[in-house]
Amino acid sequence: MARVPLETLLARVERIRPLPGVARRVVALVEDDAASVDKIQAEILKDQVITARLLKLCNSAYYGFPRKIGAVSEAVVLLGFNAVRSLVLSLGLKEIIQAPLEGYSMAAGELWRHSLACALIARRIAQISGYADAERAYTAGLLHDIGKVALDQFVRAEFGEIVGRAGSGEKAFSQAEQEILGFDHCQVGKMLLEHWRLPAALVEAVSLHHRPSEAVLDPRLAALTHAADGLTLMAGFGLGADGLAYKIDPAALEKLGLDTEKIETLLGTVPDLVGGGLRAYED
Amino acid sequence: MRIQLIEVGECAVTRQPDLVLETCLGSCVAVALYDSGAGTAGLLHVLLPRMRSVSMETKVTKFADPGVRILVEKMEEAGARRDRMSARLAGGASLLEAAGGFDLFQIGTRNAETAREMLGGLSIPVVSAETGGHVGRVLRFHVGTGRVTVRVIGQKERDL
Repeated sequence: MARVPLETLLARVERIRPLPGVARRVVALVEDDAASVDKIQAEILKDQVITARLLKLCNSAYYGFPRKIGAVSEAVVLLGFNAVRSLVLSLGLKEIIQAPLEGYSMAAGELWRHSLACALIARRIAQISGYADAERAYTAGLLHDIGKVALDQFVRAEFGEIVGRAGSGEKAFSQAEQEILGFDHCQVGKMLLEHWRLPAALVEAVSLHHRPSEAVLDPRLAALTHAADGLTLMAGFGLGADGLAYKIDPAALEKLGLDTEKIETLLGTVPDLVGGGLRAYED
Repeated sequence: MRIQLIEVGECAVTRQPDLVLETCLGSCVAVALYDSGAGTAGLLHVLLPRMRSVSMETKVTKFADPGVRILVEKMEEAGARRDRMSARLAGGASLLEAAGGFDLFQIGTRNAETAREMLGGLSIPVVSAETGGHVGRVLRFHVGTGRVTVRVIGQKERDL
């Protein structure tokens, strides 16, 4: 048993490369209802790399706008504040989660593939199930496994023990993490997002993405993050050593009005939905 | 050695001997077909067992039915003979079953069953398979030799 002391974990969380400033500031502007086209454009323009990538994405086949988007302000007007927040956050996150995660046996870029796939599926589930803020659903999907970045080195140290416990087919991988390390990647994700000062409902959805029935602030957001993660794992995007060793909560699916037929239809849309999204973000 | 990634729902047939087809599997099932006489290899990545309706579908090879039939037809068009084809299967994992159960967990199992059923209907033998469980897998298909390997993520690669 090698339980990780809380101070050690917090120190690790603080050493994780933070989201780029532009992403944090755009999220804050939109979350605080302080956004305007000029303010968002001004923040984005401070980061030349993000500006160039944002315009490239908006002009990609994935968005399919009939004319060329030449200015950030045009993109903000056309897409809306919430969608631009999602884009900037995605571009910022992509930069910091590219490294391989040896503890989870994830090659370079696999966590990004998993995160973007989950975000796109979460947004689609939000649209299908009538959840009002589809972009918040996207964001929760995008960030749901961020805790793995900070927990990776500890999982690597106890890999055999954790996989041994989770390999029985009865216990979820996160439960094995909890038993051996004293923390699972969901709790560590919560610490990281609190450290980044992201909104409480979002933090809750990430921290409870494997136990959505415990959510109180926004139970549907937690439920759809949970469902989106399950479908992402099933479709095989960014799988790690934890594989599919997680339980799906039928109550979460019921809360979203997802029956077997709807889920199969949704899963059938995944190749185009996720394939197109991943291509759009390629450098 | 060149690696070509086969994404979810894709179907590829090739005779290029230096090529390795690779695909990553959760509850999806990979169907690897080989005709050693013609040196023709085909790989199908099945996402769902059966197509529910024909309308609006852009990529029908994501379904075991009709994907397996399309794969075999493409193999034949590329010079392979059905009576020389053999199949290997991998994937079809499931999420853990929660209390109360839910049909969702059966998609992986049904993918594998439907693929086997389709191959049986076309008289193509399944010579090796590794399906089920709760793990992610990576399958590699070496076109030049017909060798197929599977690696459970986090474990070592082995021949299928």
